[in-house]
Parts: sequence; structure tokens; C-alpha cells
Amino acid sequence: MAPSQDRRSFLRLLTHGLGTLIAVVLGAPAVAYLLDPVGRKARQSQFRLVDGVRLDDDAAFARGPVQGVIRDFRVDGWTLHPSDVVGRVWVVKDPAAANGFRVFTTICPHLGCSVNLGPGGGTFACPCHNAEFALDGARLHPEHNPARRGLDELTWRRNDADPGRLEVQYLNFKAGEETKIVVG
Amino acid sequence: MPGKIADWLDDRIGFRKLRDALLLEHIPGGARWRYVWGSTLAFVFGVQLITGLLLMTAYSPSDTSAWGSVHYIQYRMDFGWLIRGLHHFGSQTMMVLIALHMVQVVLAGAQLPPREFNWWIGLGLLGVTFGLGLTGYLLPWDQKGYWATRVATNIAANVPFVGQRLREFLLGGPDYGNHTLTRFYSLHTFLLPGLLIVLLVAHIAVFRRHGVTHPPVALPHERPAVGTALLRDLVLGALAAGALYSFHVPAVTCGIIGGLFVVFALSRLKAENVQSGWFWPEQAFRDLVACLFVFGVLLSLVVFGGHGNPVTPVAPEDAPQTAYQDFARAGLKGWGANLDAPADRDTQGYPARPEWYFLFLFQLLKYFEGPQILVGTVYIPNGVMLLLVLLPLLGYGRMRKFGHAVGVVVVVGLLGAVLVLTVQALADDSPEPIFWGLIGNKEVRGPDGALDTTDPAAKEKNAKVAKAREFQASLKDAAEKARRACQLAMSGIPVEGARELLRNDPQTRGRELFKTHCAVCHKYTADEKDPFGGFTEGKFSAPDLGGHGSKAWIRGLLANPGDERYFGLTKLEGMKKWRKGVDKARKSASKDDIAMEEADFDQIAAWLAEQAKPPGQRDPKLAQAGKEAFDRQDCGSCHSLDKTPNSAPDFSDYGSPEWLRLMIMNPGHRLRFGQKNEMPAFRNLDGPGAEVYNQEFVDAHGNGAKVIHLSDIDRELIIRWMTRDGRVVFGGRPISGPEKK
Repeated sequence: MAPSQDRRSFLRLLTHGLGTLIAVVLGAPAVAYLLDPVGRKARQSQFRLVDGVRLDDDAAFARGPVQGVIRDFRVDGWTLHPSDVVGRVWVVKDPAAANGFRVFTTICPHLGCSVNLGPGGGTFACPCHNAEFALDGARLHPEHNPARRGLDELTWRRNDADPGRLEVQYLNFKAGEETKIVVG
Repeated sequence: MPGKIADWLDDRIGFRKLRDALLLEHIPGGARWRYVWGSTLAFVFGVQLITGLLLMTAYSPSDTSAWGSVHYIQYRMDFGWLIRGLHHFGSQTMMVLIALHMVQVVLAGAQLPPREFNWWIGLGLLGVTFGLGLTGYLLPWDQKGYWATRVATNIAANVPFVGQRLREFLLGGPDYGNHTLTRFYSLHTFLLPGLLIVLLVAHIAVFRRHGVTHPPVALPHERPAVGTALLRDLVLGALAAGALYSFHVPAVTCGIIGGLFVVFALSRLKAENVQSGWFWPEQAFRDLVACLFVFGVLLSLVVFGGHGNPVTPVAPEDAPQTAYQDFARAGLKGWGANLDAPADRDTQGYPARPEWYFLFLFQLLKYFEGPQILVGTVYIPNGVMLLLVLLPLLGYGRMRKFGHAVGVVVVVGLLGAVLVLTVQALADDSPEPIFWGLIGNKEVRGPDGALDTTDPAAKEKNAKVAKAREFQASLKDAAEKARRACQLAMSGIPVEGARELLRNDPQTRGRELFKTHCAVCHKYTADEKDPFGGFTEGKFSAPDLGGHGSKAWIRGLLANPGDERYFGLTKLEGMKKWRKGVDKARKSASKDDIAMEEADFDQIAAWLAEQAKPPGQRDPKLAQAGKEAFDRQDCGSCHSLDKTPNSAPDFSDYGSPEWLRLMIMNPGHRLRFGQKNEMPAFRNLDGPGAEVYNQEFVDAHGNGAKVIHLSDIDRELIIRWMTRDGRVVFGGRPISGPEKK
């Protein structure tokens, strides 16, 4: 090989090296930046007071499930909402339950729509893909129910200062799974 | 195997042909270092494209969210400071490289025929780059960008005939806001870069058509010896490494760059001394070394520029735990680009200046007054552009040599003028001479050392110095506000937008409100280092509230309630009478009894000071001992602890925001100072529901009660200022809207 060919291949190698160096110095932080939101933790869940429901309001429970709302501060990227709706729950009076009541999140375990009361108020029905649940949260019509599990029940307790009110540990669960998997 | 895949792929899509067309460009006369500037420009534009796309994934162009999203990028996202910093300084680097590129072009005479079109395309690229700088400056929606853009768009409004329409078109209406941001955003992220790419492709295509403008190709015996070329490479390398080092690039990187030059120079020894060359790899290598050089400068500006505002993380997830996170979130340390305080139209005298590369236009403005303004804003800049457009036309036929010289004179002259104007703009803003005392303002003092006010010329000079001082002071004030806003935003930004951070900041706004509403009567003594400050000047008629409710304050009150710091200036006699009783009893009391009493007072002060804390955080041991001392000293005969009215103020949650709120809204309440009170009630008299509360207030106190309007937010700001609680007051605004028809 002629000496000038030697030099050319040497320069070619160096040029490739330089290009790679610049690409890595710029590319590595770029990838880290893009992946920033992956793995960011949601807020730790704790017991939060539920508005709009009184456990001693027998008249309301006689009509069926009662919907309650949970408000708390919510962080959305850079924005801080001092008091926003974190979520809603259905409270069902159920003598078969451990403390006389069951609390369900309104989020459908199928794909995350918001579950309503079904016609007549005797069931829960999701308006999106026709998932239906009994008032105790169980899946109805398993043969054509798109949801793979029943409504997600939440842990609750009575408020110390006012036992007529309840506190709920509000959680989100992964949609579409057969079991409850907490996602924050 | 990789070769086989490449063969297969080339067979299908023919990428090698495209690659060869791009890279195998013949360079008559050989590759040269001086040809690198165009490539560095394309490189930095590439960096701008990549970082710009990354910023787009996190930026939100709206009046209420733009600043917050930029703050989030800067301080909370991994390497957000780096991406934003590269983009910020990348635009400035492009301006410098454009100047170098233009000089190289006119030196070579590359604007002359047959390359006229490429010169014109290049001027188009210059205009688009200016447009990108101008639109990008606004996007963070901080004070700097906001006020500079106001000026720029008002200049546009002065353009004859279409000005006002043009301004409305740019702003998206008559005023600055959401639509200005969405328009500037689409201009900055789509239209202008798209145009730039099209022009750049055309620029390179036309360049390739005519090839590089090289000096006459030397005959073999005229070529410089290898040694000369080698030496030149080494000198260039030393210069490059030195320049990098002066830009605070780490020595290792400077060494790598310098080393590349050395390696390159030595490689000449192994080659024949040929003067013809190819883009790949002879020129490409030089280009990439230059790009690495530029990138090094750019990175060091971002990392070592010291332009950002350091902040302390508030949320635990924002605090770096490892060395990697410390680097990934180095924005917290002040690395990266600056972020000014959020744009707020309600700002008095913001010291607006454009980005430095527009300072020459800003300075030009100053020389034209009144209706002449158009000369500085429209006629001269456009005249200069026209002159540049005409430059290539001077190169036809025998004029070529003349045209070449004129090109050099015009471009170098213009750059010189830009430099002079820029330096003059900086000098005007400095109260002292700058650039080693060569240029700038200087005070003129008479023989007695006082400012000379007799000589009109001296007077004018001193006035200029005063003006520059004022500018520097407002600059400092703006920088302080920027730091404060960046810190406050670490706790989250209200939905109403980032400007509410400073508008509802207890430390600054609360202080102003205390001054207006409270410091008229109340003194507030504060520690000198306390960032919240205090008020000690003036004639006061009420207790000193500095340290109100603290152990020292209460202890002092028990020792001498008649002191001016406590009830000395008021008609409240209860505590004074009590202390007289204490002093009288002490005359016949034993030393031990007095010591025990003093110990009780200490105990009571410590325990009462605890009451300002939330119930869960109070010391239970103190609660027991304090209550016992309270009972022993019979404080309960006048004061209550459980919100049962008595003859003196109730002490439940004493000194807490809740306690202060009732004191401010209803000082004559039976749980506060009752009928003996002289302080007016500060209540919200505006908004829905206020009339109900105030009717109830009048019902309870009669029409004679003094009431002063103080909005709910303002009251909370005062309370937080008093309790040294720096959290921004969120929400609670009165419901309002357009007036009902």
C-alpha cells in the first residue's frame, strides 16, 4: 500500500472514532433524558378521608351504593394542585363484609374506564366494554365479561374523630390482569 | 458477515451510491483547516435539532405552563440542564460561527460569480437563524424573553403600512399571551427549522456544484515543504488547545484535541506531499476535529458557565442520592442555562436587554429618537442586508478583483461595527469602565471629591453613571427574584401559573403587605440575616411583633410587659397590673421563692412557644410541666386554654397561623383582646359570601367596629411572613369573571 493510502486509512479510523465520541457524549445524556419518566414513583398511598359518604346515613345506603370522593394534593409534573380529586370510590353496605361495608375504586379492572351503577342500580356496569359486576364486586356473566377480575376493593377504616366518616387507602391497579397489581 | 449484510442491503437500496456521492467530493488544492467553518455550523445546527426535539418532549407552550415546564426540564429531569444548556448556548455558538464562516467566504471571494446564488441562500440562512434566536428567546416565558420580545415586536409594529397588522399576526392578537407562545413555538420548532433545512440542503447542493473556492493550485515545486505544513498543524493544535483551556474545558479534553493535531501532523510524514485531496477522509477529519473543538466550548459553557440559579431540592425524589444523580441533576447546582423569573406583565422597570447577539441592534436604536426610530430599526438593518445582497454583483468581468476587496471590506467592516456597537451597549450599562478601562462610564469629581455638578459635560457623564448604576441594581434585583422563583418552584407551581409564585411569595410579597397594613402601628424587629426582614423605622403604637410567640418574646413579656416591645405603647393594662403585683410580692418573698417563680416563667414561655406548632409536633414533656407552671402562677384566672372566653386572650394554638388569623380578622373577639382592643379588624370585604360574614361581624360588634379590607390571600401572606413560613399561598382566590350583562 502506498504511504498516502496508509495515511488515508489512518485518518478514516480517527474520523470514525471522533464521530463516535461526539455521538456518545451527546447521545448518552439524550437517552437518559428521554428515559427520565420511566420508573418515577407515584406518591405513597396513605389513608385519606372520603367526602360525600357517611357510614351512619342508613337512608342513603338503603337506596344502594354511595359514591365518595377523595381529595388530596396532587403533583402533575411541575404543577401542584393543593386540593384535587385523587379518585372516587363506591361504598356498598354489605353485611357479609368484615366491617359491614365494602369500598371499591370506580376504576374498571378491565381497561380503566370509570364504572357506573348498572340500570336499576343492582349492579356495577362499565360504559366502555360492557364489563358488569355484582354489588359485592364479583364479575358477572363470566362467559362474556371482558374484565379478568372483579372490582378492586380498597382497604378502609373509620375516622377516629368522626366514626361516621371513612378513610381509604386509595390505590391504582394494573388494568387487564387477573390479579390485583398495585401501580401506585 | 457484516460485509455480507451490507452487500445485501446495498443491493436492495443502493446506500453506497448515496454515501459516495456525499463523501467522495474532490477538493482541488487539497483539504484545508480553513474550510471547516461551514461544517461546524451544520454540526451545531444538528445539535440544535436533536436537543430541540428532546426539549419538545417536555416543553409546554402556554402562558401558565411554559415557565413551569422549562423549570422542570432544568431542575428535575435527568440531564435536562444539559440538553437545555446545549440548546441555549448552541444558538449563541451558531451566531459566532456564522461570523467566522462569512469572513472565510469573503476572504476566499466565494460570494463572487458563479456562486452568487449560494451567497444569497446563505443570507437567507442568516435571516432564518436570527429568526430562530428571536423566537426561541421567548419560549421559556421568563422575564428576559418576555420583555425583550415586547420590544422586538413593538419595533415590528413601527414598520410603515403593515406594522400593526404584522405585530398582531406575530402575537396572535393585540396582547402577549397563550397565542404568542403557540405561534412562536410553531415558528421556532417547525416553520423556521424546516426552512433552514431546505435552505441548507440547497446551500450544500449549490456548493457542491461549484466546489470549494480554492486558491490557485500550486505546481509541485511551489508546494510548501512537509515540515511547514507539519509545523502549521502543530501551531493550530496549540492554539485550539489553548483556546479550549481558556474556556475552562478540562485539561484532559484540551489534551485530546491538541493530541489529535499532533497525530495528524505526524501522519504527514508517512504521506506523499500531494495537494489534491478528497472530502473523505482528509477534509472530514479536519471538520470533525473542528466540531469536537466547538462541542468542547459549547459543553464547557453549559457546565462551567455558572449561568444557572442553584436551588435546594424540596421533594425527596428530587434530591440526588448517588454521584450519577448528582451529575444528571446538576441543574440544582446552577449548571446549564439561566432561567429568569416567570414573565409577569405587572413588573415595574424590568431591565430588558436582548440576547447579546442582538445587542448591536439594541444599541443602534439609542441613536435615533422620535420619528427617526425607523432609521435604526428598519432602514439601516435592511439597507445593510441589501448591501450584502448586492456584493456578488461586483464580481463580474474586470470588476472581480475590486469586488473581492469590497466584499472583504464590507463584511469585516460590518462585523467590526457590530462589535463596536455591542461593546458600547455593554459599556453604557456599566457604571465603571470595562475592557481594562478602555471604554465606559466614569464619574467626574470636583477638586473637593464631590460629584461635579457645575460643568454640564461632567453633569451628563455623572448622570450616565447614575443610570448605569440603577440598571445594575435592577439587574441584581431581577437576578434575586429569578433565584427566589426557581427555588419556590421546587415545591410545585400553582395552576394559575408560575407568575403567582412571586406574587404570592410570603417572603417578598408578605413583607410588602405587612408594611402597608401592619407596620403602620407594629414594629417588627428581625435578625439581620433573616431573609424575611423586618421593620424598625417609624413611629409605632403597638407591640413589636418580631419573634411574636417565641420563647424569648414571651419570656421578655413576663419580665416587663410595660416595655415598648410589648404593651408599653398600648392601653392594654392587664399584664402591666399583673407584673406590678408580682414585683410587689417579691419585696417580701424569699430568694428561693423568686427563683422558683422565675423558673416557672421560663417553663411557661417554653411551653407557650410550643403552641404555634401543629399539635402532633409539640413536646409532651413540656406540655405537662408548662401547664403545671401555668396553674401555679394562676394565669388561668384571666387566660384560657380551651377556647372558653375569659378576660384575656385564649392560648389554645397560641402564635399559630390559626391564632393569628382570628387576631387579624377579629381582634376584639372574646378569645383575643375583647373590648379593650384598639386594633381594627382586617377582613375580606370583596367577593361572594363576604357580605354574609361581615353582616355577622357587625351584628356581633355593632356598627362602630373598625374594619379594613384585606383579601384572604393577602392575609395568609402576612401570616406566613410573620411566622417565617416561605411556602407560596395557593388558591383561595375570590370567584370572579367577566361582568354579568
